[in-house]
Amino acid sequence: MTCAPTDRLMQTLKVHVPGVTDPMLQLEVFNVMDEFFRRTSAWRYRTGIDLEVNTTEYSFATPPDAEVVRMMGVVHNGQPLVARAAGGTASSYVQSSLGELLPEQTFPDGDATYLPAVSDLQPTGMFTYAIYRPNYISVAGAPDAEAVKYPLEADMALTVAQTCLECDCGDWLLPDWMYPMFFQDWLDGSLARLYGMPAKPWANPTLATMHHRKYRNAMAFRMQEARRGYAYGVPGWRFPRSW
Amino acid sequence: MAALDTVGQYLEEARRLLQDEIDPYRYPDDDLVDALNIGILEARRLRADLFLPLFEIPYFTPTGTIDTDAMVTMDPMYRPALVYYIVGRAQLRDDESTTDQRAGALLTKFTQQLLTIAS
Repeated sequence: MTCAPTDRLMQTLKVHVPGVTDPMLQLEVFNVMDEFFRRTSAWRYRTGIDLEVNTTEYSFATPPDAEVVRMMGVVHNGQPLVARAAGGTASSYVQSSLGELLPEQTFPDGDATYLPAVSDLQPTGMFTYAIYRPNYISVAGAPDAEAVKYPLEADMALTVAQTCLECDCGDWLLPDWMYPMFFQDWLDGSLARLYGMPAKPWANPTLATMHHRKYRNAMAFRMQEARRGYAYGVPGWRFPRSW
Repeated sequence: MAALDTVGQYLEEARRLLQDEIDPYRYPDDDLVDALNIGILEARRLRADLFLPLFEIPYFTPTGTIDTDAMVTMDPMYRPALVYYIVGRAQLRDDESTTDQRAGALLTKFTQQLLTIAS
């Protein structure tokens, strides 16, 4: 018998949910993890995407047994790129871009002026990106020879892939640190789902409500935590009120 | 390996409760295998999760030579319930009032074991 990272979770669930079968546990734990990652973006993954001249769509790989939930950000040559809404043009849904800062138009007193015609949102300049289908990123404006010198650095949120359920190993290829970190959250989520089932020996609406509330609170906390990078006391970024 | 793995083990345990262990049997193997098949259908109705992941319902041919080595894929926790169903269903055909009560109790026990903790 080999140990799996899910052992602690499965063992605790079996004690708390008498009569539950292993396939049922696997299914519900998977459902909880999937919901958890989709809502919180707690599983972050960063990868580099090499650009090619005159190519606007690129595929990118994700870790085994994982699939993309959403793209959190894309950086090219140290510059964060603007996300483009589906179906929009390069500058659709983006406001307050000032355009390119031109040195020859910067006055000695430091007051700068901008040339809106040379906007950083134009397809010919710094490009924008969009995700129209999983594992493919589209950029507006084909990159030129200069742009392909630097890869796109994509930061994305992942979740467990559905193919995992076909695996009988009792384990999902999550980073090991997640199991102790999210143990209590996944336990509450699984218990809420299991206790809430109708016509099961372990059904218990009262406990289901209690654990569901704890699980929802935990997801809200983890969402904030993932955004702030797991550091204590870091405030979330907020647009300055005076602007 | 756990108890009640195969069709033969189910028949043996059912006969023990039916007190029908000496050939020629009062309850033929065919009838008991039929009861096993119907019990599995009832279990599927009450507890779909017992048939995860594919929800396939096994069927054991009740006629001809019974394959007593055929595996019955059921979670070990719920195998006794199937034995109670086989015995209860077999006794339904008897018309003595005492046997009717026993049959009813066994069929109820089957349902309770699938749906409640204390049963």
